[in-house]
Amino acid sequence: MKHTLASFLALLVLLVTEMIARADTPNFVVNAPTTIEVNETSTLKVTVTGAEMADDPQLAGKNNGTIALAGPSTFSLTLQGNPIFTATWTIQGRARGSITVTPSVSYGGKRISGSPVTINVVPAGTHPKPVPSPSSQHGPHHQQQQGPFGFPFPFDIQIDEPPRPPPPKTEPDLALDSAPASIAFLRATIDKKNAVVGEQVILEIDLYADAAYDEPDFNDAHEASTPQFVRRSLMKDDTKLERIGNATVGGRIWTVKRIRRAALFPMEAGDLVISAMNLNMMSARGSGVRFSDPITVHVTEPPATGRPVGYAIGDVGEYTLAAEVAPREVKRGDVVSVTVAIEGNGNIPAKLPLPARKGIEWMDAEVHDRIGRVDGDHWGGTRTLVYVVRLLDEGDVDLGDLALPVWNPQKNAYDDLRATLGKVHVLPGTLPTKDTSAELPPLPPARGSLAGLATRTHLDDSPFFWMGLLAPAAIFASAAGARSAARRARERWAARAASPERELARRMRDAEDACAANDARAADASIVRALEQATIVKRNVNVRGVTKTEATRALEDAGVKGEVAKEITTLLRECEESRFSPSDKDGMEPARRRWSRAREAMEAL
Amino acid sequence: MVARARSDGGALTPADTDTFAEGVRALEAGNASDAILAFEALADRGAVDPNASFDRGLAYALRVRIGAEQPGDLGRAAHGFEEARDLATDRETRTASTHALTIVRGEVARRRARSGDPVEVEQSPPPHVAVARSLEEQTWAGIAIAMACALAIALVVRSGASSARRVRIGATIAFALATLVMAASTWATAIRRSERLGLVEAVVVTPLARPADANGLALQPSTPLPEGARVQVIEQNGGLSRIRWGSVGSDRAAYLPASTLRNLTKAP
Repeated sequence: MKHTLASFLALLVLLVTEMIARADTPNFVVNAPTTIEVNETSTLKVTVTGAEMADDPQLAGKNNGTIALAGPSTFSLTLQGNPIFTATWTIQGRARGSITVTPSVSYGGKRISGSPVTINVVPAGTHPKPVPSPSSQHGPHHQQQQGPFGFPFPFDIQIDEPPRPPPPKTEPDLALDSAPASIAFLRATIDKKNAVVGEQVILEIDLYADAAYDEPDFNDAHEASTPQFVRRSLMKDDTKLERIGNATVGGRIWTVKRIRRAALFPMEAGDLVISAMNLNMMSARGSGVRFSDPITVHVTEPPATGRPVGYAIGDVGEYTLAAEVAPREVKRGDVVSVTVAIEGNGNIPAKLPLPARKGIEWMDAEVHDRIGRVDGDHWGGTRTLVYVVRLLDEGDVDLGDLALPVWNPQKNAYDDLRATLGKVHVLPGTLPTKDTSAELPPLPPARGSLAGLATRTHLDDSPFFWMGLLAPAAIFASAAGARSAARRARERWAARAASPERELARRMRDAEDACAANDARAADASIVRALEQATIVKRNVNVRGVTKTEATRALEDAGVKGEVAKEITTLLRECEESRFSPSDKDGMEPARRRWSRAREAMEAL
Repeated sequence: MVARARSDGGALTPADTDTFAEGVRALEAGNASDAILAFEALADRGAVDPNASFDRGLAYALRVRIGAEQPGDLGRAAHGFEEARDLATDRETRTASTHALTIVRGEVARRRARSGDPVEVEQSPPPHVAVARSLEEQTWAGIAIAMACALAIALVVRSGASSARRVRIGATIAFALATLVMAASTWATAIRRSERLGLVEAVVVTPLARPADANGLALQPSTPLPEGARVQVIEQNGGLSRIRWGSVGSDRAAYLPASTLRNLTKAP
């Protein structure tokens, strides 16, 4: 009995001690997502309950642009005497990465913090949203401090949820690795990237909407532009979307609806572009314009090899050609009806080349079409052309064949479709008078064989032609010019050779040579000639044939010193006297002395 | 040397010869459409032959004669005959082509007169071009060479005859004449050569070819060019071809849709 009482008292003391210890510890609950997507918005919520009202909520942590924070918005409540404080931040994923934040509040004059919260931001469409379960309805970062006695706080009441339904069936053909946009997007596809001119290409545009949310509203749709194609719709009703199933996109479930399905027939060769379709999207989670991707189709002409004569670029498809002629017997000048039916899949040709023959007049055709959507994959039908043909010649007239060569993409070859019209028996009859003045006059007869092309050469293609044009004149001009230049050179040379200075030098050389020889008379003559040339060259005074007095005066007038002038005139006289003396008994010495004096005098000029 | 040629410089194949024969048979039987198909197929394959062009023109003309005319047949007939005349080296084919052209253009003129349009269907080239075209390029080149030689001889004679006055006068006159004729013939050779190498010509193959500006808007005032008219193509820009036909396109640029023209093939 005493032992039991002691145990009870001990336990009571323990409990009271715990109660006292925990009496002032608030309950700090943090509710935040661990992972959000880029552009996704969520909340981080802190709830603090305790003996006092908390205040001043804060989030600590380094925001490197991974998330955008707004708030907090706070809410205070006292419930059954217990203060409850709530602070809520709005967070939005901005960039891929992670961030750790630590919430804290002011409580009882102190700041208390919760455990750090790490939020991962992932690309849009990559975070599968788990189905909420009873155990996680408060979020993964739900932290709760235990109440008295270790029991959960009275507000944390949990209710069991029914089991999750199985995931919906998805179409593998519609799956994508990632979504180009959140909430909804457009996807355009074609069944072939390469085609020939006139070949059908199927364009599909699908609308993907995220199944986790309510389907957005769409308006203001702008069609994909296809100016280089003939476009025919393959949908039963273009105004209604056809739900075609679900798809897995980046691990998430998306619903898929078909907006457009059309048969496109390219009208020209080249890289033809199907532009983007766009429409305006509005939803509770956001709004914006959604575009499909533009698509390029490489279009060529069907191969030239094996191409039938008369094939018109663009005639492509799988067709049959049939023709009926009625009646088969008429009178001359009457008409028959030729009914031609082109049936099949493709952009049916609008007209046929007609077998124009003499005596047969084809009028314009009446066209009847039953053309449209054959099924979800084909455009085609039947085109019927009714011709009226007038027959002008008597007898069995062969109307010829109708030919419609087409390219069959299924066979990857040409189909040379033909319909034989057969013969019509034309009975004799009269024709209305025809205005023959409207006919062309008779033309020359046809050429029966190929003529070939003569190999043509042209003189002026050769560079020698142009050289040859100018060569004779150029050669003559060169020769004349060279001759003229040579003549001028000779004249200059001769003129140069006859210059006074050269003559003086020559005469002085002659005088030297003469004085070195033994002929005094010759030496004196050369001395005289040298002196005469020297006065001309140096003073421009000609002393030849003038008296001594006149020569002296002339030299003095020319600026020669008196003694030099006298010396020169004296030398001239002595040389003349010696030359014409009857005897030569003095020998060479006097002559040589006179030459020496002459050189000095010439130097002094 | 006579060779059978294609526009790519290669030789015609037996298939080309067969197609030609097929076309001739159709022509002789009066089957204009078959004949047109055959000759057009030959042209599509690049065969260049004056007789093929001539017969192609005949096929289109035949279609007009039998009353099965399609718009542009007269123009295409004229194109065939023009091409045959350009490619042919024998006088007979040229004469026949000229005669056929006269017939076709006469018909075009008659129709234009009926509709009140001007009846000119051919335009004369500028006088200097007309003079240059009066002789073949080879002839002008030969004359130029001959005159160059005469010029040289005259120079030599003149410079050598120092005392004979009459000889000098004669040589001077010969020199002047030879210079003039050589200059003229060289200039004519250059014109013909530039036409051979650079001139692109086409024939209008539609009844309504109204000249337009670079934006495709009809020039005002203007009348449609006659079907079968031979025009110069100055440049091609997308779907429009800038052309010149007489005074049309001289003072202001004139364009025609490329689909209204068919270029004349030159010998490779």
